[in-house]
Amino acid sequence: MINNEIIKVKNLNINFNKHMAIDNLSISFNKGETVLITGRNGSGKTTFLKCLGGILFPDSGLIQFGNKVSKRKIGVISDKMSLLEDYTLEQGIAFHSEIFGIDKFNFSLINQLNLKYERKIKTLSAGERAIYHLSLIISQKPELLLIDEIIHMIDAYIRELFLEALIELINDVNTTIIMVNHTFSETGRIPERILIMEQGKFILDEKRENLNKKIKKIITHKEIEEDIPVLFKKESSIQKEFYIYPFKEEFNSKYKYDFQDINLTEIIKSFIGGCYAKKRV
Amino acid sequence: MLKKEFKEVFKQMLYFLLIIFLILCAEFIERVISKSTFQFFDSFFPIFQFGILFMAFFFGISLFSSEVRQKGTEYILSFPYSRLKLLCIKVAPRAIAMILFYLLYIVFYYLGGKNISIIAIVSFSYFFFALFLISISFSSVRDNFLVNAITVLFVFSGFLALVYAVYSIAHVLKGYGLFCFPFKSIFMAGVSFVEPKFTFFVILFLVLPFITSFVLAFRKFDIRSCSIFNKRYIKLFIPTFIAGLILSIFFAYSGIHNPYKSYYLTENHKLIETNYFNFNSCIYDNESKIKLKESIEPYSWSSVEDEKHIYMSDWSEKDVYKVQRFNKINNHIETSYTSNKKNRLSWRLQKYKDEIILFEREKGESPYSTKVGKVRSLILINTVTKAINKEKLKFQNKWKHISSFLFGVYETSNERLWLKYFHIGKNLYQIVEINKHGNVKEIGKSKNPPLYVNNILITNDEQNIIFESLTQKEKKIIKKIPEKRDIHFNPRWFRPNLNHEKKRFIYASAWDMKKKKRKKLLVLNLENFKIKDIKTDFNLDGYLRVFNSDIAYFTQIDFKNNLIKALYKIDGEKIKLLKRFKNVERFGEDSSFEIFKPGIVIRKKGKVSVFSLPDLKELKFKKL
Repeated sequence: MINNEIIKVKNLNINFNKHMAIDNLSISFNKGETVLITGRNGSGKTTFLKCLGGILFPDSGLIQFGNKVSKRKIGVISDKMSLLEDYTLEQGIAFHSEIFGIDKFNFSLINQLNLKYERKIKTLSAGERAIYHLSLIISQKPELLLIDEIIHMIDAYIRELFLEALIELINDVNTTIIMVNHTFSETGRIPERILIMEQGKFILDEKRENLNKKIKKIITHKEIEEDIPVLFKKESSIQKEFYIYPFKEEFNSKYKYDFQDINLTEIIKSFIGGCYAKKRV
Repeated sequence: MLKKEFKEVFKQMLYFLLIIFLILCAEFIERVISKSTFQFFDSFFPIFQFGILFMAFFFGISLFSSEVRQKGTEYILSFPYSRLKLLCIKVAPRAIAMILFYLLYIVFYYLGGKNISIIAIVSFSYFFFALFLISISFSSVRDNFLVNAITVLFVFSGFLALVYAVYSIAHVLKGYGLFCFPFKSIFMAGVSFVEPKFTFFVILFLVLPFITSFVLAFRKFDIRSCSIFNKRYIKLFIPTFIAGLILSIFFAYSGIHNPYKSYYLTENHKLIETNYFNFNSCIYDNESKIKLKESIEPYSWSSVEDEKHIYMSDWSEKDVYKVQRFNKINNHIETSYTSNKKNRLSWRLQKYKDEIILFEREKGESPYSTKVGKVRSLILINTVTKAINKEKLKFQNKWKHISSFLFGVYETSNERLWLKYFHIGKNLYQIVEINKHGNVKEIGKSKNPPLYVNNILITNDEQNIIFESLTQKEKKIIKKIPEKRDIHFNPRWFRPNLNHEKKRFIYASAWDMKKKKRKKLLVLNLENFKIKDIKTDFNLDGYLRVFNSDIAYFTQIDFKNNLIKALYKIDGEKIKLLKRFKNVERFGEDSSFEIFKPGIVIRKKGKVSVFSLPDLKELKFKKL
């Protein structure tokens, strides 16, 4: 492994009853990186994340963690993950602290929601549970944090708390965060690297800063030239939208189109849309 | 996490003990209401025994049930533990609880459960741990606890059948014929026909495939559908099971004994052989071997033999207890009496003139725990007319006794009275007479078991041996001999035949009760009522046998090494060495030494030799 690498994945394969969820996937992640994995439903994002978290066992392939990464420093948080529901918050904290060797528990998030410690975990709402779970994970001071589709299910206030906590974690512990998400309006500011998954493989792996340069949109009434690579085309009775990927600087001089910059949400939408279009074909 | 698991298991143990306690309370209340005299332990132990079997099942099957119920499987899989460590953390507290319960079972077993246990300790121990391990191996078959539980029950039933099948195969491979040992008997009596160390390996290799497949499959356990885990489990299970099966058959084959056979030498020098593995009986004479249509089990001390017939109890059929009559001339077997299905018959039969006498008692009562009173009936079978007279015994008093034996019969001008004694306390035997209507009348006591010979009742107290004649109205002392030694007459071999053949001698032993050692052999001359020592210069460990005659036999035994050392003939005061034996085991997997009135039967490493008594001439059976 290269020094800065925290995880290296080699030829990873996972099957679900003959359905190939992860298909010979190889990738690596660096220390302190914040990564967003997205893609259409069923593309294998959650499976990949659970594999990194040790919840799923690969059928073949290798997941290597950097030398200094202990399993106690890996946090997994998911919208579907239940904790030990019969425990009270207090018991849950004590149990989690014992398992992960937490010396000093960070109560700040729980206190902000004014949760009572004698409440049972099963009585928490989805948002409260997310914050409670994040508190457990943050207290681990994780070197790797795996977040699976949490953001979309929590209200605006809790979402803000959640994201602030993440940012604090990145700043304080230099945690590597890999998150799977479908909404980007609020998380959009966090990721440095964007991965788009399709049929168990990454079809896009770009630094966020490069992504705006590599994908552009053309709005026109006619068809465009065939040598312009179109990722996805959106058509209406009024106009046609062409998403161009990979965009090259020379296109500006060669063609007279207005190559527009687009935001992250639109970029991802275009990729996912492209995947659906291919599937239709 | 270990702490959490211990807490959980401790809680389960408490629930379990609470349930047992509640059942016992209900039982106790029921007994108080019904005024039953049963002992508390009699109901506690079987409940406890089945309870901990259920506990073994529950501990195994509920390995992950708490997480599954709380949907927390994903959470625990995210812990910084390897799958094997996680499994160890889960299993360890349950294994400790299992050992604790097992130790408790052992304590209760030896505190009194031994006598009322319905499963032999060996079988119970194997099944207890096997059930736990098999249950663990099926704890992840499905997320549904009920489905897992049903699966385990099916698999465990199959496992028990497999144990039986393995022994059957080994038995056939060894050339001992078809194995018909009743499954129930294995469960109740333990797998006594196989060396214990081999049984351990047989069971181990049948259990190992379950647990190794589970552990290996669990190394890759995750939240994917159970069918993926099950496929992995089955892939591992099939080869390990085949290997385990072959090894267990090998160990069963290596450890299986020669079939246990019993022999009975009839007075007309025919030899009856009963094979306890296939429940076949056959009869040998000089030239031939005839297979009997039914199995019979005659014993020298419990069967009655006359010129034409042998009468014996049959306990071999399930819940049927009957008296069989075997015709020595034409080998015909018939049933003389069958007990009520709810009842049991006494094993010992006795005969006086034309009557066979035996007792019938309620099921559940054992000779060791019964109380006199409500349960016993007197059965009289007329050997000529085959008529049966059955009367309930009507007692004056109720004693708790551990043994009772019929030891004589005397006749008045108008009735026949049966003499029986009950052991009612330390060095205290109550003597009663029973008439044909079942009325029980107390007629005296004795320090040691009494005798009735030559129409004389012989008893003893601390100071004397007392000789009395019996009449309908009174007992009359004929003679008292001062005797302070602890003398035990040898009545056992008189018992099958209670006929009044005139005897000159009674043989007895003087015992050192503290050392539990025979000090002297004695002879009591019934003509002059003098008791004399028989002069011996050898160790008197062994058995004294008298077969309704004035001649007795003393078998010298090395009890420590289970070896028969010598056979002596005693005639009055004279004692003569008949034969010394080398390496003849008293009993063993394929060895036995049995002495009958007409001869001795020696089975040495499966080979049977028969010698007549008293001349020790070898009796040849060509087909034996």
